[in-house]
Amino acid sequence: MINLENVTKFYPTPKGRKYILRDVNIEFPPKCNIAILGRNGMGKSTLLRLLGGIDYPNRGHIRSEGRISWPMGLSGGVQGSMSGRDNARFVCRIYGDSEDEVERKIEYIHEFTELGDYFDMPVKTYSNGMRARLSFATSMAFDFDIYLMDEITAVGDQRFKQKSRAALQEKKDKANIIKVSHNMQELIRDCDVGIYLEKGQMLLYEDIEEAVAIYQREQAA
Amino acid sequence: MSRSPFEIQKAVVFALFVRELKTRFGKYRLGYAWALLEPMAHVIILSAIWSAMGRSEFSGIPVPLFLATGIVPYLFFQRTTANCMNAIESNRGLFNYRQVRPIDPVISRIILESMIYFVSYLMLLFVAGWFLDYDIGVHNLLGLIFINALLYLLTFGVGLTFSVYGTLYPEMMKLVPILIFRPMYFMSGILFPLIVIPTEYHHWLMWNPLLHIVELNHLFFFRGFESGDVSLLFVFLFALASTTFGLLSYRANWVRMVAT
Repeated sequence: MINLENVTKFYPTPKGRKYILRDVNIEFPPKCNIAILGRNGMGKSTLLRLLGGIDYPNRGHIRSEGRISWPMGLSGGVQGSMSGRDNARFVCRIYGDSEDEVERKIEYIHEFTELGDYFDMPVKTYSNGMRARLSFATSMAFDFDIYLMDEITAVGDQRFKQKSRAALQEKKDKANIIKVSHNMQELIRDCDVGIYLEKGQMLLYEDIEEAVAIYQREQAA
Repeated sequence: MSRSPFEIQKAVVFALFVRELKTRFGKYRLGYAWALLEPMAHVIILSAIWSAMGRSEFSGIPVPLFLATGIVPYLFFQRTTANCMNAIESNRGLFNYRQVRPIDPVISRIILESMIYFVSYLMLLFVAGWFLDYDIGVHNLLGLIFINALLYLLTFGVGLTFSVYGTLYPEMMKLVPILIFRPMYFMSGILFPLIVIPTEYHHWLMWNPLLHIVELNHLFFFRGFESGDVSLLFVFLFALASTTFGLLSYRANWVRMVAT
């Protein structure tokens, strides 16, 4: 369950405040896979960061229940100077796993990423696809109630995409996703409802196809 | 299933500590040695200068031993507080996890530096006592432990303050090493004891808590060390005040430090 109460978020810019959210009240429908749509710069990623508890609204409250993942994206979440293994280990440790459990998860992550020897190289030597694989595999080692995904499925080869979809499908019985993507087919396939983000407001569409249609009409206009 | 805030913070600080340990000492093997070589280099060079000027003791204390017991705590303070300034920036990627709060890398860095300080202090004394045959018997061990506990507290307070303002105003904080550390190196009683300075200037110098700390280190270490009007209470109050200020600054600004 996620609830936004009078949430306002803005960025100060030299030309005044740029509002991402303006007095937004919304309750995310429970047990739904949610797509977040909106043009570039409308604050989709910021919204995910707010939901993930790593950024804070200027006013208002965000209440949530259940375990929410970190926003899985192409940037952030990794320390370039550390190896993939150490990054993954770090995440396991901050989630309070015992050392045995850490090693078991590392094993799983190593296999899932198919990084091979690169797993022990600094993350800054990774390509975008490799980074995404590491980030995705790490989150799959944990059981969250909600997975936050920020364009993470845009990269990676076909085989890995299929693999990650299968892993996610397995989780989907118990977990849900909130997803940002510009790939409409993917959103229609993976999500049930859509949230359209525009001019500081969030519009909820119970039917994902309707949300996609609105988004595409705006794009064409 | 859900963990208490303290358990979460403990796990985060530990994870960061392991990470610091690796990046600090893993990349170049000299890392461990540097912790010992740096103070040694200061001691050797400064002893050479003093002996060239014909000085071999202060109040009966051999110059190299006098220098070592002052430089090690001083360098700990300087290195740690300077390190804290970019503790948050250099861990920025890890704030992607909600468990990690900006104070955590500061705490883990201070713990790591404290351990390095403790070990390098003991090793330096070992070298001085075993190889150079100095008398390294401590005159007042309890006092020495107490003053160094206060040094830890002061370092935490100043380090936390630096980390907050170093993150919010990085340009301004670049001046700190030049404006504070440079002059303090000469005015903290590490190159020469306070008593060699005429008494009428003491009341200016006595505002510097590091001077008190270094002098008290000497006072507790050596029997018969002559010092000025140093005060344990001043150090205690200064450490307490800086910790309070650091915590308040952090409390008021931590959201700004992670929010975009």
